[in-house]
Amino acid sequence: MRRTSLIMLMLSVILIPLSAQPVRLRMATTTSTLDSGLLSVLDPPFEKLTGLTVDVIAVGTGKAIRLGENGDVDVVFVHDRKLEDRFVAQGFGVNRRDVMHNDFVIVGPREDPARISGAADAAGAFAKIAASGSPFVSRGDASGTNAKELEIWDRTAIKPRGAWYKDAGQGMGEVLVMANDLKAYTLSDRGTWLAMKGRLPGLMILSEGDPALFNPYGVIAVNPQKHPDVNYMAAMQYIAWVTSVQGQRIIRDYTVDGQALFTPDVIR
Amino acid sequence: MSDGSATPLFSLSGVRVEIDGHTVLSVDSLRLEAGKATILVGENGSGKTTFLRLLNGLLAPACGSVEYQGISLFADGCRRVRSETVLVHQDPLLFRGSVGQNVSYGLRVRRVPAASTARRTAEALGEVGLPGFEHRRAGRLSGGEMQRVAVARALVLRPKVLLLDEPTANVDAASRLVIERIVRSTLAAGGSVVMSTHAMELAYRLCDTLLRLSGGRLWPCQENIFRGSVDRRDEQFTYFRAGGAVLRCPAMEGDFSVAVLPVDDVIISRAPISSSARNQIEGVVTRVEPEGALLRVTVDCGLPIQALITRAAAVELGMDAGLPCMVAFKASAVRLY
Amino acid sequence: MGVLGRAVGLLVSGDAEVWFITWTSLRFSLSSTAIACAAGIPLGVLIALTRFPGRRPLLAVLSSLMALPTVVIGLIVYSLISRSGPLGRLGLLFSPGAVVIGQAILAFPIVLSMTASSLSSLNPLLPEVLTTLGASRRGIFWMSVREARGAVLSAALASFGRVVGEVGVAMMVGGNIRWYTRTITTAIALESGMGEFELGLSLGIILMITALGVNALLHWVVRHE
Repeated sequence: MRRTSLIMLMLSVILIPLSAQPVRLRMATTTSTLDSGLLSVLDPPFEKLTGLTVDVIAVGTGKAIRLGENGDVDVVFVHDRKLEDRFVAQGFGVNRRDVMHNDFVIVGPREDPARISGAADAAGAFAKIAASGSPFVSRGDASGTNAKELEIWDRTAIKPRGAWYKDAGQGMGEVLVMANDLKAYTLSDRGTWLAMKGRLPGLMILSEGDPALFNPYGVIAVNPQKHPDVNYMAAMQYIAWVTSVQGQRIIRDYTVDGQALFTPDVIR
Repeated sequence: MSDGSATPLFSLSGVRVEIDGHTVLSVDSLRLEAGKATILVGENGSGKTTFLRLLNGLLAPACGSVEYQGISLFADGCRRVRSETVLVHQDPLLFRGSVGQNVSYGLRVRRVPAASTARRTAEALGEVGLPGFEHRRAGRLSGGEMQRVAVARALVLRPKVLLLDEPTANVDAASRLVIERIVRSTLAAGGSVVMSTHAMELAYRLCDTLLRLSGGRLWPCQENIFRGSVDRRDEQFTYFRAGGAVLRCPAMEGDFSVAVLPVDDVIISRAPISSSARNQIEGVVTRVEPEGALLRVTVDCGLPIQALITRAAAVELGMDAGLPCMVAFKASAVRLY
Repeated sequence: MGVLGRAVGLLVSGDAEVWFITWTSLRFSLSSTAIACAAGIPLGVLIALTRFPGRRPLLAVLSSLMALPTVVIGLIVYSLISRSGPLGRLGLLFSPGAVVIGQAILAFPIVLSMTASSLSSLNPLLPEVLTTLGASRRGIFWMSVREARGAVLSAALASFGRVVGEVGVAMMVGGNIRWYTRTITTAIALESGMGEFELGLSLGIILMITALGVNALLHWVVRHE
C-alpha cells in the first residue's frame, strides 16, 4: 500500500506540469532564424513586454507554411517570397510584413575545382559547377534556401541530375557539414554560414553579391477566419514587435563575430 | 454404501465432464459421506484430478448434477464449497516470495487481521512439520517441503473438506508421513478428506471408501479391505483379527492395521473343501449383485467378505441371500499393511 | 574521454537548460510509459489469461506494431491533433501533452504484447490454485502480475527505453520548442544539425545515464517491495 501511494505521488508530480499552460504564441520559422541565434535576442524582450511565451518551431519554410495552412501555428516567419504570396493569396495568411533581409552565398571547397571564385553571377557559377562535375549538396527539403537554389538552376536551364548532385533532404547545418566533408559546393544563407563557419575549415565563400541571391524574410499571421482557434491577437502583437523601431534595432545590432547577419527592412 | 437419511457431503448423479469434446469423467451415481476419507486410485489420466476439480467447483460438468451438502454446486453451493473446501494440487505451485506469504495468502484474501494471520500461519506450518519456515524463500525448498507448504496453505483456512491431489507423489518419506498424519488429524477433527494417490499402501491404510477410476469411470473395488489388528503370530502365519473373524496371513514382522484380500482370490463352496487354502470360514450369503458377466457375492463371516463368481457357479451352488456356505482363500492371498 | 567528461561536466555544472531538457525527457517518457502500462498491463493480462477466437492473430499484429516507425506514429498523432484534424480543437499540438500521447501510443503495443507473452509463460494452473484458495478475479489478476513481475517490469522498461530514445514523435508533435518541449533526443537532432557533434554526443551520454538511473531505480523498487 505504501509503495502504491509512493508511485501515485511520483506520477502526479510528473503529470501535473503537463497541464500548466501559460498563454503561448506558436511560431513556425525557418531553421536559419533560430540557428543564427537571432530569435534568442529578439524574443525575450517581447515575452517580457507582453507576458506571452513564444514557442518556436524551427522547420524548413515549406513545412512552416504547411503548419500555417493547417492552423497549427499562429504566425509564420519565413523566407520564400513565392510561397509566402501563395499562402496569402489562398487566404491562409493575412497581414504579411517585410521584416529583414540578408543574402545567400555560394560556398565551396577552398581548392575551388570549378573555378567559380569571384563570379558575381550566381547562375554562371552554378553552370560552372555543373560543367566541372564537382559535387554539390542540395538541401532538397522544400526550404526557402532550397527554393532559391532551384530558382537559380532554372536560370541556368540545367537540370541538376547525376552523381555530383547530392539531394540531401536535410537542414542547413547538416548540409554545410556534409559539404565540408565531401569537399562540395552548396548554397547557404549568410546567417547560418557565419554562425557555423568556425566548424567548417574546408569551406569558404566563393560567390556572393548577385541580386538574385537576395534573401528577404517576411512575417505573416495565420488567418483567424480559416482557423478560429489561432491566437491572432498574439500573432499581430508579434508582427508589430518585429517591425517596431525597437525590434528592428535588435535585428540591426545583432552580430556574430563582429559581422551583422540581417539588414532590417523598416529602419536604416 | 449406506443409504442413510443424513445428507451426504457430496452427491453426484448423471455427471459427465468433457474437455475439448472428449468425455474425461462420467459418474452415474455417487454419494460421499461426511467425516470420512475417500481415496481415489487409478492410473494417470484416469480422471482423478478431474474428479477433485469437479468437487471443488473448479470445472462444470457438461451434464448432471453435483451437490455439496444437498445444494447444487452450480447454484448457491459454489460459494459454500469455496469457503469450506480447498484443493491442494499435485503441482504445489508456490508463489514467489516467502513461505509465510504463501501460507497466509488465503487468509489475506479473506481479510483476516494480521495478528491472527501470523498465528494461524505459524500453526499451519507446525502441523506440516515446518515450524519457523515463515521467512524462507519458497523457491529454495525441496520438493517434499514445497508440497507440505502447499498443504499448509490449504490447512490454514481450516477447511471442512480437504481435497488432495496426489500429495505423496514426488515427495520424500518424511513428507509422506506428514501427509498421512494430516489426513488422520483432519478426520479426527470431524473433517472430510478426498485424496487421490498412486501409493496403494497409503490408500489401504487411510481409506474409508476406496474409489477406483479407470478411463474416466468408477469401477467396483477389486479387493476386500479389512480393518483390524494382529491377534498373534506363529512360525507359519500372522493371525489378523478383523470384525468377528481371524484371518491367516503370511508370517510378517511389524504392526498392521489393514488386511487386503483380492475378490478374485476368494472361493465359495457349499461344504468345506480340501485344498491348499489355509483360510476356511463359515458364513451366510447376504447379498448377490451382478457385475458385468459375473456376480459379486457378499458373505457374512463375522465380517463381510466379497467374492466374484460366474453365473454358472451361482446356479450350481443355488446362490441366494441366506445361503450358508464356506469361504476359502490362501494365506498368501492376504496382504497386510 | 573528452566527450564523456563534457557530458558529466554539463550535468554537474548545473547548466539550467541541460537539466531542463533532461527533466523534460524524463517527464515525457515516464508519463507516457505510465499511461501505456496502465492500459497495456491489464489488457495484456486479459489476453494472456483468456482464450478467444482471433487471439493469436491479435498477438501477431501487436508484436508487429512494435516495429512501427516513430515518425509514422508522429504523423498519425499529428494528423489527429492538428487544428485541421478531428481533435484539433483541443489545441494539443506542440505541447507536452501531444508528445506524451504519441509516446504512449508508441509504448502501448510493447507493454501489451510483452505482458501478454510473459504471462502466457506462467504456470497455467495459477488461476485455479488462486481460486481454490479463495481469490476473486481481481486477486487472480494481481497475483498473475505479481508472479510475472520481473517480466512485466521488463516490458515497462523496454517501452521506457524505446520512448526515451525516440525522436520522431517528440520532434513532429512536440516541435522541439525550447524551454517547453525540447527533449534530449530533439536537442541532439538540433545540435548535430548545427554541426555540434560533441555536444550531441554528450547529450546522448546524459540520456544513457538517465535511462540507466531509471532502470536501476525500478529494479530496486521491484526487488524491495
